[in-house]
Amino acid sequence: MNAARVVLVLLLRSLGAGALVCLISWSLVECAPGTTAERAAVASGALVSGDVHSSVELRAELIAEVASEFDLESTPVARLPRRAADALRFDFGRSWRDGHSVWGRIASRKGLTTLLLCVAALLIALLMSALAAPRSARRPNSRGSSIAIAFSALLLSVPIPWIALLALDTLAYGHPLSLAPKGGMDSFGHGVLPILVLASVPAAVLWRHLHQEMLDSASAPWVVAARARGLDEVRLWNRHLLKAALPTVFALVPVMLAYLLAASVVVEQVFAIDGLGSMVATAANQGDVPVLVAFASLSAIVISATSQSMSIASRLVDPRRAERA
Amino acid sequence: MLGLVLGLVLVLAVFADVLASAEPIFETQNWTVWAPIRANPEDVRLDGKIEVLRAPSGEHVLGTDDRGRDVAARVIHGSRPTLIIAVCSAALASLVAILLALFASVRPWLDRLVLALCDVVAAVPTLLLVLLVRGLWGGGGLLALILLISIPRAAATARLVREGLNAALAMPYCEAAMALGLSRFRVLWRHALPASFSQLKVAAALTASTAVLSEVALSFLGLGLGSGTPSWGELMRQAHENQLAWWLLVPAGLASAGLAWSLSSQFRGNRGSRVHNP
Repeated sequence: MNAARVVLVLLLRSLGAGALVCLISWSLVECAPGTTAERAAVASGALVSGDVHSSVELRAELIAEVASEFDLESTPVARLPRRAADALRFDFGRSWRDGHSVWGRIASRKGLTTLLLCVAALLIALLMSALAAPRSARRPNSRGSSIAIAFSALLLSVPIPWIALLALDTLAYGHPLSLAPKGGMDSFGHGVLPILVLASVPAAVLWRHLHQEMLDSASAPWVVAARARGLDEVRLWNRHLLKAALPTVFALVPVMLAYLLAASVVVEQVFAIDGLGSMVATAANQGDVPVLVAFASLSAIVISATSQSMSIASRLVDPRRAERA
Repeated sequence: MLGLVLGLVLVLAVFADVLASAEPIFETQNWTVWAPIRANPEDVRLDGKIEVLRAPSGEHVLGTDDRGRDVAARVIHGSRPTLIIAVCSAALASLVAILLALFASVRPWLDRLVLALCDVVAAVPTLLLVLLVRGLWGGGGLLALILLISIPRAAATARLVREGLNAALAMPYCEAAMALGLSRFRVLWRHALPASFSQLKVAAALTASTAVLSEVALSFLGLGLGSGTPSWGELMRQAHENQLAWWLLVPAGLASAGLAWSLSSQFRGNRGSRVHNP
């Protein structure tokens, strides 16, 4: 019963965050220069931006036509609450570009592809950092640890398009190392390179935090007590100190997921993946607002749900947090 | 080494017109001084012919792009908008962060409100925010890009500055200043704020680095400063569209990664803290 209540609260809060972001996004659109109907007309291709040859009457007629097609005839004040309520039912309207239902397109396959990419990248980043951090923290002054620190700093400074293009240029089939297929998402193998590229930066961030947190905890009284009782060093670092550092990682997971959703826009473009990211990149270039609002709202729902789940997970790992809360 | 990279990019940005230009830099009756790279970043033709996607040669040190423009000239001129965005974003984010932190330090309820707001805004990745707002708002130029990059970083920086202010306010010298009758604002401004400058410098360096990475990613997606403005991200996009032409990919990537790395590492030392906290 208690677990069901927790899940219900989590879902309601996440949906609320999605509706709020939808409201803010549409408010931003309504405040933008020019009318929303005019922007919809330009995005749909009915009107050419900066066209001076069409008569004023023709432009007004085209705009009115597009406004009636996309439900933009009422005032912004009347439209905004309706949009937020629709978002709660996952109804994000129709794309201004092609007229298709936005949720229909996301739910068909694109949304799942991007979500799979991001979740797989996050899990790999967590695994890599959890494997590397105990080793590097155990010997903080070793050459390996210094190299890892320099490498993580380098990864954090390289633009994500460059990492993706270099991976494509060196690791894809037909290139020097020939390790994985080039692009698309036809099979699991096709996802290897995009997932590795996406995981690179979160792995560096998570490793640095885990490494530091474990170093800080290494001099705690309970660690001295565990050593005094003769606990094996490998077991101490790999099990107890890693577990003590996990809440820090849990706090970073929502931030990393948000980063992955943003980076997926670039990575999907590079690897020609037909996912939500490439859909958003095209929509941003074409001014297709309903698609962008849907992406912002869904991102808010996913990030909010992850953030709440991680806060529950950190209380489970460290019961002292539950007591403090 | 990293300072050298930053210095080099700074020289490229400041002297871009002297280093890459089709017009003579200096001319007298007897002799003419030409730029080391005799090409303008926007020129698509040379001696009446367009040379598209030409590999590096004596004529074009770093080859040409898919419109026949000189890549070396575009890399050099591309450093200017990137550096402007990086410096202005860092300055704006730092300024807003200081104001927010000072505002939060006035009353405990203001502190909680500002902190909650900063937590929400800082959690949004810069790239995601810029991508969505530019798509939703439409248009935008250099100023809009600087503003959008600064917002989430200002929130993250404000948290750091506020921590620094709180730590400084708890120090005996600040308590003594207040006991002497100085106003809370004066103590914050004159005595507590300088103590948090070292954190502010690190945050500003990270903001500048984030700005470089965001600008490159946005230009790669075609949401940067427009196709006319030379940009490193645009060169990467061209490399992607043209069988990963290495002369487009390598210089742009090295330049952006070098600048981002040197910026993020530049102020991590304790030189600043020694000046403000002897």
